[in-house]
Amino acid sequence: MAEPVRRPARFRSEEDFRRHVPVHVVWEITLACNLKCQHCGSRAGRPRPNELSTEECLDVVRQLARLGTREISLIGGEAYLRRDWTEIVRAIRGHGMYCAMQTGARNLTAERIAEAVEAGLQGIGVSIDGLPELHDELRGVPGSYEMAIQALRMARAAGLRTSVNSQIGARSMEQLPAIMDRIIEAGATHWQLQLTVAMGNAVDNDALLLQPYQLLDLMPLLARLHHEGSSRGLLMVVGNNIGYFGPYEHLWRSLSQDFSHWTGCSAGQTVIGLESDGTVKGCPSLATVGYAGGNIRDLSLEDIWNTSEALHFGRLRSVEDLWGFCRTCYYAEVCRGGCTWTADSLFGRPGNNPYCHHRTLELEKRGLRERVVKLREAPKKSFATGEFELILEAIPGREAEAGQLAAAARASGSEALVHIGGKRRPSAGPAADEGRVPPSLNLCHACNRFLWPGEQNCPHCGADVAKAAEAHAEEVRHRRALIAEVEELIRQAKENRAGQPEGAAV
Amino acid sequence: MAQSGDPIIIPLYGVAIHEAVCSGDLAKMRAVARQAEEHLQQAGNVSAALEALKLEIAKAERKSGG
Repeated sequence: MAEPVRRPARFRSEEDFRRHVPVHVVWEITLACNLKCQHCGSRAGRPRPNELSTEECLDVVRQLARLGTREISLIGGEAYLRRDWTEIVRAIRGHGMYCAMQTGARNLTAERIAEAVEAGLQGIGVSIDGLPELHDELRGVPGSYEMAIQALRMARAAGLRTSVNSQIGARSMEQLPAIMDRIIEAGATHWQLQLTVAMGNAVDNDALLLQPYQLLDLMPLLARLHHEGSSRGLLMVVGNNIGYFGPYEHLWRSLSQDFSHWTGCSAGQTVIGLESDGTVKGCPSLATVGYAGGNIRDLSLEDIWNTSEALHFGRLRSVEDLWGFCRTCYYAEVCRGGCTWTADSLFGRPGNNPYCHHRTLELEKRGLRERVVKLREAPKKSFATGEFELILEAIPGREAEAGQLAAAARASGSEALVHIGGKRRPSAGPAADEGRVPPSLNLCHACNRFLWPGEQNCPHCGADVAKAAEAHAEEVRHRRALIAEVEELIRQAKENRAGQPEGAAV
Repeated sequence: MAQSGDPIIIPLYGVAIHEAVCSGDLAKMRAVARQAEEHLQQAGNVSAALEALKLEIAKAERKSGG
C-alpha cells in the first residue's frame, strides 16, 4: 500500500471552505526591493510611503491567529529589507503558524539566514526565472542568478526547507529543463511554476508574456518535467494560473491516491493578501484598484474579512459572471474562469481566461488559436493593469478549416465557437452563512480528463467510464501486487545478508 | 472511480507548498525500484568480487602447480 501523505497546513478541508478560514496568508511586509524585475506586478523598489509599524505588524499576526490562519508567506518587495522582519517571523511562529519567505535573494547573506532561522523561519522560496544570462536580464541586476543559487545552498545548509519559484514567459519556457537541473543540484525540493501575468512592469515589457496558444507546447513539457523531477526528488507544483482540465490536470494538483483538480479561484475564501500599508485583498497578486477590501488601520482584519464585498467576489461568483469561451465551457461551474488575476489583468474583468489548456486543445481541434495584443499601457503604479485584446485566429496552415468553422458559427449566431456540451451539476447553493465547498469531479481513466459525476461516456474520448474505471482498478491491483513482491524480495535479501556473520566466507 | 481529494490552493506570488510530498503508487514504485537497484548494485559488487576471487584462485592454483 502507498504511504500516507502528511497533511500540509495549506491543504483545505471542507470545513475551511464552509467557515471561510483564511488558511494561507501572503503578506507583503515592504515594497522595498533591491532588484529591478522586468515582470514585477507590484513595481517594487521603494517602500510604500506609509508602511505598517512593527507594533501594527505584530497586531496583524495576532488577528490572523484568531482567524485560524495556519501558514504565512512573507514577501516584498524584498521582505528582509525590513529591519524588523525577524521580529515578525518570531511572532508568527509564536502563534504556531508555518512561516516561510519568498525572495529574489540579492545579498541574502548567511548571517541574515541564520538570524531568520533563529527567529523560527521554516522555509525559503527563491525566485529563479532563467539560466544566468536571462535571469540577470529579467531581474535587472548582474550576478543575481548566482546569488539566488547561493542562497538556496546556504538556506539548505542552515536547515530550511528550500523551494524555487519560476515565472514562465515567452523567453524562459525553453530553459525550463535546464533550470530544473540546476535547482535540483542546488538542493531545491519544491518548484512552483506560474505564468507571467500582464501586470505592472510586465505590461511595459509585454514581449515577455507567453501567448495562450503556446500552452500546446508548454503543458506536455511541464508533464515531462513533473515526472522527471519526481524521480529526482523535486516536486513540481503549478501555480493557480496553470491548468485547467487538460489531460495533465490530475498531475498538477494530486499528491496522493486522490485525484485533485482545479476548483476555482479561492481569493477571499481561504486566502488573504496583505499589502505593506495594511491594505487587505483576497489574493496577493490581484490589482489594488477594485480588489482592496479595506485597510487594517480603519477596521479590524476580522471585520474586513467578514464584511468586505471586494474580498467576497470569489465566494459569490457563479457561471453567470463568466463570459466568452468560459461561459459555455463544460467545466464552467467548477472552474469559474480560472485565475481571476490573470484574466482581470488582461481584460479588466475576470471570467474569461485564454490561458487554459482545455480551451487551447478545443480550439486546436478546429484549427484555431488565441493570442493577446496590448492596447493600453498600465499606469506607473503598484499592481496596475493595462488593457489587452484577445485575438482568435486560424493556426497558420489551417486557415481553410478554421474559416469554415467561423462561418458556421456566425451563421448560427453562436458566441462561443467551440465547446463541449455536457452535464452540469445542478447548483445547490450553500446556506446563507456558509461558504461554498468546491464540486468534485471524477477522472476518466481512459483519457485522464475530468468529468462530472454521472457521466456514462466520457465527453472527451467517448470511453465507457465505468469500464475504464474497472480496467484502471485492475491495473492498480497488479501494480500494488508487484510493489509488494519486490519489497518482499528486497526484505529477504536484506535478511540473508544480515544473517551472514562478517568474515564467514573467508 | 477516482474522486477528487484535498484542494490545494497556490497563490501566485507566495512560497511553494513545502510540506507537500509526492505520494501514490507511482512514487511508491519509484522508491521500491530505487531500493531494488541498490540491492542489485550490492549484488553486483558481490558478483564483481566473486569474479576477482575466482581469478585469484586460478592464479594461486597455477602458482602452486595445482
